[in-house]
Amino acid sequence: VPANHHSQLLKGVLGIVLLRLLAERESYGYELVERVHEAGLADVPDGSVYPALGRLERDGHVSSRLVASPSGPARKYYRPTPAGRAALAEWTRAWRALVDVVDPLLAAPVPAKPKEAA
Amino acid sequence: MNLTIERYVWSVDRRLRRRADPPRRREIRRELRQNLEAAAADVGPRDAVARAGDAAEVARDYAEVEAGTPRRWRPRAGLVAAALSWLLLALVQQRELRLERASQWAEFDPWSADLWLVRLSGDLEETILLHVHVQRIAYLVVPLVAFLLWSRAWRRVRPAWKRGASAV
Repeated sequence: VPANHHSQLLKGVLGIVLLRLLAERESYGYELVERVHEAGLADVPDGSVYPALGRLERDGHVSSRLVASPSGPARKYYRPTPAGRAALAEWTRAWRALVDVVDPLLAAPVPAKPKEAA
Repeated sequence: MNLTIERYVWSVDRRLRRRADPPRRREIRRELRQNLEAAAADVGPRDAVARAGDAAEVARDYAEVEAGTPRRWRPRAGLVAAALSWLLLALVQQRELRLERASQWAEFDPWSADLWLVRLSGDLEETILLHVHVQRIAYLVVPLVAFLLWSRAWRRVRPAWKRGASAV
């Protein structure tokens, strides 16, 4: 898969992944990046997570609060809002519906040559 | 403060100059710096910046969050600037017409605000010539000033307006 397509795919699901991880535990930007990588999405660049968090906050899906840090300036911790939880449920449904359609399509064996039009 | 991190933050911020309002840019700079410093504590500043990815792409992502697709506003802003310029020029032209009418003494209004120069200099012909020169310059300057004012105001108002529209 070309790198650009791969990163576009990741970007498309990043919002739902971040919301899901934040629903488990509130986190600040870099901590969330580490959690995304630990979850198996190691190709997600750190720099794409921070704007994605900004987008979630702008859309009212997460709220933030500053927490004093022992090793520097205060950190901005994010957690999902009730609207964010509702969006997560909705996106999860939409994702599963998409996977149900796309998965069997991709799982079918690919012929060596496409059939020619009659 | 680490120079590698600062250069990266500056590089992202420079690209957001026309795409996000100053308070929001300050917030982005602070948060980006803080996250990069947290990453640098783990992997060092060079790797932290490398892992963050291309600054242009990060700036583009932030810009999209701030204001949707950046290119979309330009034709609309251009149209409004053109309309504004036309309106201002129409007002300037109106003044010229009134002055010309006043030069035909039949319609001379001694209390017209347009003729304060006449009253000062006492020479109508000279005043009209001066006025015409000013007018020519105004034709060039007014559209330019109108466009600059409008685009400046638009840059400030648009992000907030966009946020409000998306919240509805």
